[in-house]
Amino acid sequence: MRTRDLDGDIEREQHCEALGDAIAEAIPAPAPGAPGPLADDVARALSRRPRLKLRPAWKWAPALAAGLAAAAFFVIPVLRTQPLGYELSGTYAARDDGFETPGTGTATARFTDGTSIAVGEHSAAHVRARTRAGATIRLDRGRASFAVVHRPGAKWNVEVGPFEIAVTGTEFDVHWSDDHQGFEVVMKSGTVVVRGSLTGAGIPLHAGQRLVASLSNGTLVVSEAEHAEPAAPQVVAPREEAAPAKRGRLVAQAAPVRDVAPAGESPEALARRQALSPPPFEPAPLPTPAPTPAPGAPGSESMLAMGGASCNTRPIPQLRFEHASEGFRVLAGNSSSVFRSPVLDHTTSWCGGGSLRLDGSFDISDPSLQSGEVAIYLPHAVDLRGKTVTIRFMAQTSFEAEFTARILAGQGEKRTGNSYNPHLTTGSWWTISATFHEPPTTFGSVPGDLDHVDRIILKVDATGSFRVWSGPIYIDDIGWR
Amino acid sequence: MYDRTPPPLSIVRAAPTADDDAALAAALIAREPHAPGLAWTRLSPLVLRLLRRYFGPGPDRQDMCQEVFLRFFTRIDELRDRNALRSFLIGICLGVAQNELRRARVRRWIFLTQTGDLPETPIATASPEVREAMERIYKILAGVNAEDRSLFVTRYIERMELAEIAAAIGKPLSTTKRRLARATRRISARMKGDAALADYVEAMAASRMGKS
Repeated sequence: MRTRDLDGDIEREQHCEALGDAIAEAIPAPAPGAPGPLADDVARALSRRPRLKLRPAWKWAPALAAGLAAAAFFVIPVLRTQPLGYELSGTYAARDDGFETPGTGTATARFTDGTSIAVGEHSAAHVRARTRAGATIRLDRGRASFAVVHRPGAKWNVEVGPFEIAVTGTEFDVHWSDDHQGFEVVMKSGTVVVRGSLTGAGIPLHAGQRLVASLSNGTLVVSEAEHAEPAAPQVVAPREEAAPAKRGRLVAQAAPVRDVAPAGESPEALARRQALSPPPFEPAPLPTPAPTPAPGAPGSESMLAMGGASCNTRPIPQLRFEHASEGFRVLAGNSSSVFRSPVLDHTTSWCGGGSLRLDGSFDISDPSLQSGEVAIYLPHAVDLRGKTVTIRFMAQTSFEAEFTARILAGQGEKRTGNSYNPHLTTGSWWTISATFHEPPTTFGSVPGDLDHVDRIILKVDATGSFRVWSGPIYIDDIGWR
Repeated sequence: MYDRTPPPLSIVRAAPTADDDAALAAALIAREPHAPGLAWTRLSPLVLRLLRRYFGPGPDRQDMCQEVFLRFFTRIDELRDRNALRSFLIGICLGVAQNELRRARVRRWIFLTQTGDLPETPIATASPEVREAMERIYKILAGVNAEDRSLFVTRYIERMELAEIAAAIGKPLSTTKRRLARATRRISARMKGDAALADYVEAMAASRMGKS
């Protein structure tokens, strides 16, 4: 069959070849060399400037380029406004961009700009909003470590309870305890600004600082983190233009003595070195001569004027404990009390050449020795309504012990002040503050207990693992405004 | 009725050297002043012959030849292989011829001639038998489409190789083979329908076989 087809094909080709030969014979080729003249229109066409002819593969290049340009015109603005993306590992994101971690696992959110957020165990967070510049993360509970990549115009926010942390590029850890209304920020590098409850106009935090706040107790503490990167030493004073204080607010910041006193450096030199670095939210104070030790003080062993340049901050505290002639009186306990034997000490102070020193002794076995009080009677009664009282003090022991402190205002038989300052440790100067607000009075109500305050009480409670310790406590610079 | 004298054995076109065509192509692309005249002198007989054989006996195809060269010169930058200059030119020539053929058919459909048939143009030097054979052959070619006609002309009249034809019409070789086979079947079938032409062709084929 196929042979017959092949024969047929050959036959057909032979027929066509015969036809072709017949045509070729009947219509021969023109005589060579006599094609006639080149037509004028062809010659004119050849004299024209050669037209740019694109190869077929590039015939559509101009259209393609125009299309790409149009696409770039419309797409690039869209890409520029496109928010950051992120990938979640270790857990799954809910429809509202929220995610939780199990009890034994962690999760990490990695954003397209390189920022990563590691969420710890038993934690929950939300990616509330994303923009091209950053994102807003809400830590619902638990812990999270943020490593925000610094970029020009970067804008990241971390919402924690009633607090908000504004970030441009830094590393820090955040802890939020929803049950206890506790908030903690530990800075590793960079700078953030914490706003929200208890922070007034905002508290900037730098590398090496730690902020602890308790909404239930109305306290907020800024201190140096123990294992953070080295930070510039800073001294602390109440802020002049601080936002209106809220009831029960305490602000405390510390400059650890043990960390900033290298061996062989005199207190004066240390004070000068501290003065070189202004506080983060205060203008640099004017340089003034360093305070001199009080006469008779053992200069080489004294720890005077540890506050350095902050001691020049105005207004000057009402009680500086330089001399007994300032008019204060001290009420301490007897030999069975925690605090006893008050004296004016001229070897250790925050500012100036003196401080009030008491011998302290805590013992967990005796309930009466777990909490101590020092009452400083004022030279005259003062009205503390709406005022903030600030106390600087330091407790010294041979090891680090933890305690809490609170400020009370005493008027006659009454004592006012229900907030406390937790997680304080020995060996550091602490600045704690308390603002006293009198409850709103109504017609016929009894006047409050803050209009004629005659004493200020520092109450200290031993906490933590080591509650048996003893050592001096130095109180310096009590002021109110 | 027909003269059984066999035609010459074959028609062989002189194959120019590749260097000639490549050099001419380079000169044309470079817009050298002498290049168009040289191309016209060297290649216009090929185009004129192809056009005459494509359309058959009729008026001179000088105008169409000029049109082919006009397109050839303006599209010379599209030439990729400079050694394929002739295939490039033949492709343009076939395109022009097919367009003209389609226009002629439209003119015939709208009766620009009284009978609807192409006007008979005698071949001055041919015998009456040959003229009649040409008339019958081109009547058969008028019944196939323009592409089949192009394939027939290039393969069976011009005796071009399949690769050259494929390059000229811009189709792959396999496609060219398939379409050429189809065109061969169609034309052969039509030729068998014309008994006198079939006898003439059979005699020519036998003569060729006997000489070979």
